[in-house]
Amino acid sequence: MTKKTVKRIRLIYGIVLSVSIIVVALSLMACSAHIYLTGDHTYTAEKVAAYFSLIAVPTYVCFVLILGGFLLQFLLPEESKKKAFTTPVHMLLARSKRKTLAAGPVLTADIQAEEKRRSKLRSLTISVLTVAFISFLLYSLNPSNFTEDINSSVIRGFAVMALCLVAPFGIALVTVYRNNASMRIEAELRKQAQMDPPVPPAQSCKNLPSQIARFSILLVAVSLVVIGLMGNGTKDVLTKAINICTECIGLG
Amino acid sequence: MDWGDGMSKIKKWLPSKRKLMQLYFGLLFNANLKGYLTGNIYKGVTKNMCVPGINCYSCPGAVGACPIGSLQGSFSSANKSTMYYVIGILLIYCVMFGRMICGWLCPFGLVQELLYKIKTPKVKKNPVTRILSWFKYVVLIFFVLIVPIMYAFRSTPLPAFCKYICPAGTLEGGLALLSNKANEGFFSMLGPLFTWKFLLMVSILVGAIFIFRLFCRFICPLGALYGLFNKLSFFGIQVDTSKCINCGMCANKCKMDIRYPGDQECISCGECVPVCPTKAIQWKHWKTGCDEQPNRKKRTIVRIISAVVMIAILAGAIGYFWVTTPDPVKLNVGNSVGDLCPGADLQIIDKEGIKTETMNPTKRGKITIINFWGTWCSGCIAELPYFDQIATEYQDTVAVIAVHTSSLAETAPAYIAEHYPNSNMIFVKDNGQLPNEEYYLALGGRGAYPYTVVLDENGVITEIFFSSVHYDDLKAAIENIG
Repeated sequence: MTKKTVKRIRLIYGIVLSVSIIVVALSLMACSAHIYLTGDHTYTAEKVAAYFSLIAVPTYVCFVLILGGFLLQFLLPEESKKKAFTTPVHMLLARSKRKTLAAGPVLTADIQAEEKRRSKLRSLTISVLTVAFISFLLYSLNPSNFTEDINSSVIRGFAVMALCLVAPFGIALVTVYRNNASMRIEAELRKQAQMDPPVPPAQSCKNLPSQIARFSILLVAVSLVVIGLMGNGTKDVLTKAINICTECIGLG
Repeated sequence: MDWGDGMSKIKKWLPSKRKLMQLYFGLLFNANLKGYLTGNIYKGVTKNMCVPGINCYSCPGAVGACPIGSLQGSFSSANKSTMYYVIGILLIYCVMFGRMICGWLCPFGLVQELLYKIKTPKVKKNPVTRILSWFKYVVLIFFVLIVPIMYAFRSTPLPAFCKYICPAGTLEGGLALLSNKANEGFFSMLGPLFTWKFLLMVSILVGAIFIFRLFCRFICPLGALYGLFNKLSFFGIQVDTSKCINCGMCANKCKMDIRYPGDQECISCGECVPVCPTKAIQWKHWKTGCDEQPNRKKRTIVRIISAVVMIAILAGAIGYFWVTTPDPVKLNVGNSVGDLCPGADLQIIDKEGIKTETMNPTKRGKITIINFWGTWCSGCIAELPYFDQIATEYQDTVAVIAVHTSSLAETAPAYIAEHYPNSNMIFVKDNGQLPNEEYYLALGGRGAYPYTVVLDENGVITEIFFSSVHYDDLKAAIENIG
C-alpha cells in the first residue's frame, strides 16, 4: 500500500472514530439531562438502565472502532516525523555557529524597538491581570457574598470570576501572538546583523539559595506534620475519608 | 520474515516504565479490591494518610485520603491541628516531588493518558492552551481556598472543588458506588448536582481523548500547587543551562504547555531526555541537585531489587486489605420500610457537652424522624434547618432526633450552642449500643451521610431518605403517616 493510501485510511478512520465518540458522549449527556429534566426529576436504577440500553449499539460500535484503531496501528504503523524547531522563543534564543560581528546602527535600533514592544505588551498584560485579580479578590473576600444559599453564591462567584478573566484572557492572547511575531522579526534581524542571540535567564539547579529553600520548606513541612499529629489532626482526615459525604462526590 | 522488525514492533507496544509505575500506584492507592465487590468503602487506619495524587476517598477501592479533599475539609475543622497536618503533608509532597507526582503517581493522570491513546485526530498545544493552563490556578484559588474558607467562617464545611468540579470524585466515588447493586438505594438521591457533575465528567473524559491530559493541564488544582514547587523539588527534571543550545526539541516533543523542561507545567515524564541533542536535560539527584549516572551493572541490580520489593509491597497491600476489611454487616434487625425499627440507648448531646444519660429514639409514642448527621458533612449542615423547622412546627406530634456520628461527636456541642441553642430537636451521639456496630448501620446506613429514617407512632419505618432532604419532603412524609 502506498504512503498516500495509508495516510488516507488513517484520516478517514480518525474522522469516523471522532464523530462516533462525540455522538456517544452527547447521547450519554442527553440521557442524563433527559432523566433529570423530564418526569419526576429522579433517577432510578431501572430508568438509567432503560436509557442506556438506547445508546448501547452506538457505544459498542465505538468500542469496536477504538479496538480497530489499535489493530490498524499495528498493521499500518505511523511513521515518526522529526519536527523542526519553529517555536518563536527558540528561534530567537537558538545559538548559531556564526561569528559575532558588530551590527549596524539601523538594525540595532530595530532590535531594540522589538524588545521594547514586547516589554510594553508584557507590562500591559500584567497590569490588566493585577486589576482583574484585585477586583476578584475584593469580591471574594467579602463574606456577605457567600450567603446561606450555597449553590447560588458559588455560581455567582464563578460568574464574577469569569467576567474578571475575560479581559485578561483576550489581552494575554493578543500579547502571545504579538510577542511571537515580534520574536520572529527579532530573530530575522539578528540573523541579518549576524548578532548572537540574547542570553536566556539562568536556571541553576545547584545554587545555595535553592538548596536552603528546599531544606527549609521540608523542615517546616515536617514540623507542621508533627504539630498536627500531636494535636490529633488525623482524626478529621480519617472521619472525612471513612464516611461518604454524598454531596461532596456529587451524588446528592 | 524479519524477526528483528517484529520484535521492535512488539517492544514499541509494551508499556513504558512510567506507565507501569502509574498503573502500580493506581493499584496501590486503590488496593481494597473487596470494596468493589461489596460496594462499601474502606474504613481502616491507612485513611489517616493522604495519597499524593487525586484519588477520591469515597472510591470503594481507595485506601488513603485525597489531599485536595482533606485540604478543603481541614479549613472547616474545629481542630486546627488538622490544617497543620494536611498542609504539612502537601508541602512534603511538593518539595520532594513537585509535579513529578502528576506524571508518575496520579491514577487520574493515567486514565487520561490511556484515553489519549485512542487514535483520533489530536488538538496540539498552542498559545491558547498555554494561556488556558493558567486557569488551574484560578480553580485552586476560588474552589479550593476562597469558597471553603469563607464557608468555614459560617461553620459550614464546603469542599467546593469536590462538590462542583472533581471528575475523579464522580468517576471513582459516585459511579463506582452506584455500579454496585448493594447501593441501589443511592439512585434516589441523584439530582441536579449529579446531572451537572456527570455532564462535566463526560466532557472532561471525552476532551482527554482529543487533548493530552486536559484536566491536568487546565483544571487540576493539585497540579497547580505542585507546579509551584517544581524548580525546588528534590526529584524531577532540570536543564543544565551551560549545555542548552535552545534548539527547542524538548518543547516540541513535550505534550504539556512547557516553555522548558522543569518549569511549572512540566510533569517530569522524561520523554524529552532522549531527544536533547546536547544531553542538557537531566534527572535531579537529591544529594547533589544534579544527576550523576551510576554504572550500568549497578543500575540493573538496583532495578531488579526495586521491582521485587514493589511487587511484594503491592501483593502484601492487596492481601492485607482483603483480609482486614470486614464483610458487610448482616444484623438480625429490620431496617427497611415496613420493618419495626430496632431501639438503642444513645447518649444525649446538648450545648454543654455529651451527657452520660441516654434515650431510646424508638419509644417516643409519636411520629419520629431520625436524622444521622455530622459536623463535618456539608449536606447534613445544609438540611438541619429543615429538621429544626419541623421540630418547632410539629412539636406535639413529631419527635426529631439528630444522631451525630460517633467520630468527631465532641465537636457537636459547640456547633449546637452556636446554631441550635434552643432547638426542639433532640441531639444524641451514635455510640454503638448494638453489638459491635453503630446504630446507623443497624438502620441500614451504607456509610453515606446524611441519612434519614421516618417512623410512625408504633416505631415502624415508613420512609428512608438516602441523601439531603428538603422541608417539603419531611412534611410529605409526616402527612403520609398521619
